[in-house]
Amino acid sequence: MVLDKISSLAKLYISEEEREKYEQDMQTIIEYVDRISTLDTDNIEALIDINDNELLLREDIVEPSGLSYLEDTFVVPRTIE
Amino acid sequence: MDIEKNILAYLENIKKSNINAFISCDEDYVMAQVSAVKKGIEEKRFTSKIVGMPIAIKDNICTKGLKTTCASKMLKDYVPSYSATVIERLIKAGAIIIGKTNMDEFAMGSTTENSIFGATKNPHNNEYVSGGSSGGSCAAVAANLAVAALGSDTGGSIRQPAGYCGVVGIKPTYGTVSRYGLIAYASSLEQVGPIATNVTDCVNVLEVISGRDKKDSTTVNRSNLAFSKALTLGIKGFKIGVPRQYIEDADEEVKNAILETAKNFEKLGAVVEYFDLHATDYAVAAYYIIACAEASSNLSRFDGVRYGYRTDKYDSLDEMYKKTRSEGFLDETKRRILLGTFVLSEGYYDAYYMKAMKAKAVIKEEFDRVFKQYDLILAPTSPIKASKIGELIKDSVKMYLSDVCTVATNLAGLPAIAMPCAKDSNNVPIGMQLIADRFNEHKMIQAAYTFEKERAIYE
Repeated sequence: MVLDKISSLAKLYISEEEREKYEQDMQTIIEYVDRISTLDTDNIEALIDINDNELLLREDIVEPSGLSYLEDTFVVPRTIE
Repeated sequence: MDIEKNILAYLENIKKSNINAFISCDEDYVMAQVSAVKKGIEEKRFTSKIVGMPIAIKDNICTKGLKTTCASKMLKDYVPSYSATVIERLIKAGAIIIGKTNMDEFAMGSTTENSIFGATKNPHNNEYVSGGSSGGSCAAVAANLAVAALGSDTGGSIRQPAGYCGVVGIKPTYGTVSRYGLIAYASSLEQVGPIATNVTDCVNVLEVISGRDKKDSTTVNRSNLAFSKALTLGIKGFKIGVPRQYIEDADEEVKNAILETAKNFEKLGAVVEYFDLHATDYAVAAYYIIACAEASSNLSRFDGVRYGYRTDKYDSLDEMYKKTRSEGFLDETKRRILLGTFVLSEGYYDAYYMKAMKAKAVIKEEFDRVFKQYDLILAPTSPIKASKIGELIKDSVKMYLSDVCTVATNLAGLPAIAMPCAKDSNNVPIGMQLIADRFNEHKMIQAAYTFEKERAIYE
C-alpha cells in the first residue's frame, strides 16, 4: 500500500484510526495535483534556480559548536542500546 | 520620543490583548533592548529610520536566547543559539524585538489555526481568522501590539493575512532578504518580509532587512535597495493588468472590491486592463508539489536526536524517529510531508516533481511576457473572504485552492505588496496586492503609496 511505503520513508506512524482519513486526504490531494500532467512541457527544462545565482565558495572557518565532546567525538544522548 | 514609555505602552497592550497574536513576549528581554537602544542613541550609533520601533517576529525566525517554536510541539522549548540575519540587522538598526508571534505550524497553513497555541483571532471581528501563516504578525500590527512585524511568505503567507487584517505586507523578490535563520519550509519559494499599518513603515523595515548575505547563498547582490526612494506619489501612465482567472470565481464581495480598486487606479491615472493568466490552471498544483517536496526534505532534520521534542518510550532508533515525528507534528504538517515524500519517490519523481519544476519554468516565462506588457499586476490577496474560525481547517483541498491568487508569485520569485482595499459584510478587511516583475519593487511601492495617500481605504 502506497501510504505504508511513503509513511515509512517519511518516518511517520499512521495509526489504524487515522489511516482512512489520511488515505482519503492523500487521494484527494494527489487527484488534484494530477492536473499537472496536462501541461505541455515538451522541450522545457526544469527551473531550478530562479535567479541563476553563482555559488560562491570560501575556506572553512572553525567556530565553537557549543556541544560537549570526548576526544575526537561529540557526546549525544544514547539512542542505541 | 520617549522610547521606554512607548515600549511600555505596547507591552501593556500585549498583556491586555485577547486575540492570541503572540506565542511569547519576554519583558526583561524587551527592556534590556530598550536600555541598549537608549545607549546607542546617546552614542549616535544609529542611522536607520526605525530606531526604537517595536517589531513583532513570526515564530519561525530564530532569535538568540528567545524561544522559537514554529507553533509546533516539535520545537516547543527550542531556544536558538543564534539569531537570523534579519534579526541581527533589525537590532543593529536600533529596532526593538517585542515578541514572537503565532503562526500555522512550520508555516503550513492559511489561517493560523494550525498551531499548538490555538488560533489567532481577527482583530476586526474575533469570530474570523487572521489568515495565515503569518496571522499572528499581521494581527499584532492591526491590533496596535507592535508598529511593524516580520512574516514569511512561501505561498502567500504574508500577503493573505495582511489582507484579512487590514495591514500592509511585502513579499520581496526572491533573493532580496536573507533566509539564514528562517526555519525552512520551502527554501526555493520563501522570503521573509515586513508588515506594518502603512506603506512607509513597511518599506523602512524592508530596507533594513534586505541585502546580500554570505550566510544565504540564494541572496542576490542588488544595487537598487533604497526602496524608500519609491515613496513618491504618481502612477500616471502605469499599465496595470488584472488576471481574469483571479476574479471570475472569487467571492462576490472580493470581486467587487478588486473591480472598485481597478476603477480607483484608473481615476489616479493608471491604465487598467483585464487579461488571461494561463498559469492559474496549474500554479496551485505545481506549488503544492514543489513546496511539499522541499518540506519533506527540510523537516527531516526533526528527528528527536540533537534538539527539539523526543518521544518518551521506544525500543529502536527507527521507532524513536517515527514516534517523535508523529507526536511532534500536527496533521497538516504530516500531510504535506507525506505528499512531498510521495512526489519524490521512485516511480513518481518524474511525473510529479520534475513535471512541476518544468511547470515552474513555464509559469516564469508567462510572467516575463506579462511584464513586457504591464508595469504591475493587480489581484486579490485571496479569492475568498476570511473564514470563520474552525470552518476552513476541515477541508485541506479547499484551503489549498484558496491560495490560487498568491502561489504563482512565489513560483516565479516575484515581489508583491498587499494592502486593504475594502471591508466585507462581516467587517473583516479584503486585501488587494500589486505584483511587480522581479527586482522591480519600486514600481509596486510607488503605486501602493499613491493608492494609500490619495484614497481613503475605508470609512
